[in-house]
Amino acid sequence: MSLRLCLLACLVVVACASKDELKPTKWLSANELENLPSLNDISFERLENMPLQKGAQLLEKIYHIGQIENELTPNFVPSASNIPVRIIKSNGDRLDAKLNNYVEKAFAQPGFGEDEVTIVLTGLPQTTPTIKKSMRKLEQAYLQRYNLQEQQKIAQNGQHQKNNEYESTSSEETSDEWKNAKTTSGNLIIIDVGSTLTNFKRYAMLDVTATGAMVAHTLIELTNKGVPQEIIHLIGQGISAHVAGAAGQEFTGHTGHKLRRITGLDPAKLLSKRREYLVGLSRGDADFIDVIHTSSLAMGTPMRCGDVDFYPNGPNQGAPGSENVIEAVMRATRYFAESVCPGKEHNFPAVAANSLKQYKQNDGFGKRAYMGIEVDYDLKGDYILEVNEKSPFGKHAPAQKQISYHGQRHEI
Amino acid sequence: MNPLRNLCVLACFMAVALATNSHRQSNSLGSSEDPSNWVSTSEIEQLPMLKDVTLRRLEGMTVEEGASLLDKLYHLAQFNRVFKPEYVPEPSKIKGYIVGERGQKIEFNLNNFVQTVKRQPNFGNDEVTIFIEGLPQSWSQANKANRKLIQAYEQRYNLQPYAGQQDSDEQKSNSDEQGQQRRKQNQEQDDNTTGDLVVITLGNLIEDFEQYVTLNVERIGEIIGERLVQLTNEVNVPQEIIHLIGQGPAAHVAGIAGRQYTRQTGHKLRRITGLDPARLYAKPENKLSGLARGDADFVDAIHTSAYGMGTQERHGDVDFYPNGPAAGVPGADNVVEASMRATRYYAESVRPGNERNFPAVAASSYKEYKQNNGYGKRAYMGIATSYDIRGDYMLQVNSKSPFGRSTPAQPQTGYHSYHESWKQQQKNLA
Repeated sequence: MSLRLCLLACLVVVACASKDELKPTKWLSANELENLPSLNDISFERLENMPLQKGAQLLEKIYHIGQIENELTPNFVPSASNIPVRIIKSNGDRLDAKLNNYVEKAFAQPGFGEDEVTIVLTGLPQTTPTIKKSMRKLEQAYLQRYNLQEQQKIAQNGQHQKNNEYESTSSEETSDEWKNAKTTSGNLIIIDVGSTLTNFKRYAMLDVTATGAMVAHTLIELTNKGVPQEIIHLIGQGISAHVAGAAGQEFTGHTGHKLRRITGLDPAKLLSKRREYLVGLSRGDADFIDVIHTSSLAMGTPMRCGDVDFYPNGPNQGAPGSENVIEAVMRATRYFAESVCPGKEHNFPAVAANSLKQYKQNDGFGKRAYMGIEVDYDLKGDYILEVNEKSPFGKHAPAQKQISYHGQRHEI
Repeated sequence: MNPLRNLCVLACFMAVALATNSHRQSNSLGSSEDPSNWVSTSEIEQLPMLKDVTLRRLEGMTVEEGASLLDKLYHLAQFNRVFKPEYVPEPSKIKGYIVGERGQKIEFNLNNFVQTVKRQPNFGNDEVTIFIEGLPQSWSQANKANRKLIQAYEQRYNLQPYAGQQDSDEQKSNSDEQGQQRRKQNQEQDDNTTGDLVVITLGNLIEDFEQYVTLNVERIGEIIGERLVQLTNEVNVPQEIIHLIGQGPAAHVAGIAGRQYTRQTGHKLRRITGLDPARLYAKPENKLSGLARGDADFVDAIHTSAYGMGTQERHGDVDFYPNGPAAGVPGADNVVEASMRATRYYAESVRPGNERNFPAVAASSYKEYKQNNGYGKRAYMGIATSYDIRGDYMLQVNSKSPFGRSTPAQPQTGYHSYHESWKQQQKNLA
């Protein structure tokens, strides 16, 4: 008798459960919840070895569940003496320093702070080939940009200089566009915040506000020593895009001036936050903020973080050709690096639109914009573009040719 | 003793224990990294079904309870893309009215909107403000907030003599406010501001929470955008005089309308204001949605229920957070009332003379604001916000009307010299 009652009860429960798909327990089962890895069990290596879609879904779950009731409060602040800094000299040599002493060392270099000063905040530890390669490409690109005057002279003299430090890939090096490209000189500084994120938990719990404040104080030191803030270009990668934003805010708080430009290379989803505090790279942190999103639905965020936000191929789990979520993050660095290479500044034309579909249907509007180093500081809004799966990533021409906007077309 | 019976009793105890265990335990050192400690199965089970979440129910909860419920519903629904923007009311059902010179309502629906406007003499000579309501009028708090905004514009645009259509129970609390406005207006030079006020009562089509979360803001925004293009092309209303104001989910409708307008004309509307832009539960796939900077020349947003009905996310060139990002604002008893406060604050600023009632300072938190760590220019929240402001702004507000505090936490002598008339106003109110 009681058994029959039990059975009836079970049937009723099952019937009730399957009636309404909008019942929250359908969205996340107890099993799913139990099976989610803890932050200690997630690693960058593990994420690199997962297919893109799986990695993206895992991260979305961790992110959203972590946002409920704000359980995760940031608690990791690397110390200034532990953050490695690389000063890349104009001949390609690297000078090692730390966050607490790099300013002095930089000033010891001849010609420092006279033209451009590019400061890159890394967002992932350089422990995997993908991440290492992306950073190498970025450094090489800036070296080319800042050494170009030298190289152009040499090319004019009929000699072709082979430099062992560069690992050239044939497609990027054989074009002759750089010979006529406009030149600038400058300094590149890499603040390797990413190297302090030795595990995923530190990544998730990084206090971007406090870290940004530390960086800001070195920027204030730079400007106090005579570097005008208009020539400082702060670039933040992944989670350090938010560190860059916080640095911008702190800089303005103390000096009353805004940094000229901050670029966010795939700003991360912020897993840990303080309640009742606003955090994250956003318009106003500098005079002009441009952002490239290459994994909006995975490690990156779909939220607008800049005055202008570029979404190659529209908001997605990963840019075309990305095999895993880590590679997807680094694509933003790769695209930006490509645009820095002399002659390639216009490799990534984009159009104002809200989706890839709109872009393809030529349903975008307004001027064409160039994603990357030469972006127009007057832009505001969301921009979409198509990119290639492999390097060279830029497609040079948008879906529809807009001859009225742009005279030349670059030949690949 | 019957072992089966023992087992049953044990099972019962466990069931009771589990059912009442609605507290997460983050007591052990390593457990905060474990997602199953961030939310429990029983918490999820206790969540109501969507059809049981009503505005009435949210009204009956405290601000914290309401925010907690909405938070869970929102985040749990995101990674499975549970909500789809399937609710698309027909244009003929989306109604509204133009406020005529005598304060009368000239009704239209989105299908005959342009024809109705054409029949209005002198439409579009000065400012055109289009207010899109986001919650139904049938709910009293929304109705009151919306009425305040409409009356404020009527006063500003001289669309009716004011002492007019007020409820008697409000007159007492308002008389002081209005008496001062009258004095203010008489003191000021000829107040020639005119304009046209259009109200789109989209909120009336949102009858329950399910419709609220599945509203297809894209489609509605596109339709309204197209109507605005017609206004420009057929009725000669230039984009630089158009100000769209969207409340709650309608803030996003307004943003999309702006983008649609630009897509078709190449020009941007002058300004879009979001009054507590709603959290977007249902998003279109692979598409960027929601109000954003760039949707008009200038986009501003006021967040009064960032952790409740609204969102903490930045949606404008400038985002104001009265009392900092929180579940609600002072004096609001529940998340819905808190959401409506954005409309009340904005309305207050619209009344002539009140434009500077809400001074704000750039900051990342209310705490920072109070410590006077804010930096940058002062900004006035409301109708008089300067169009070159960018960033996040914090301010203090009162828990009852008049809400504006007129002076910030600490006087900032470097930034702003005091106006005597505001000090006088403070004395009159005391």
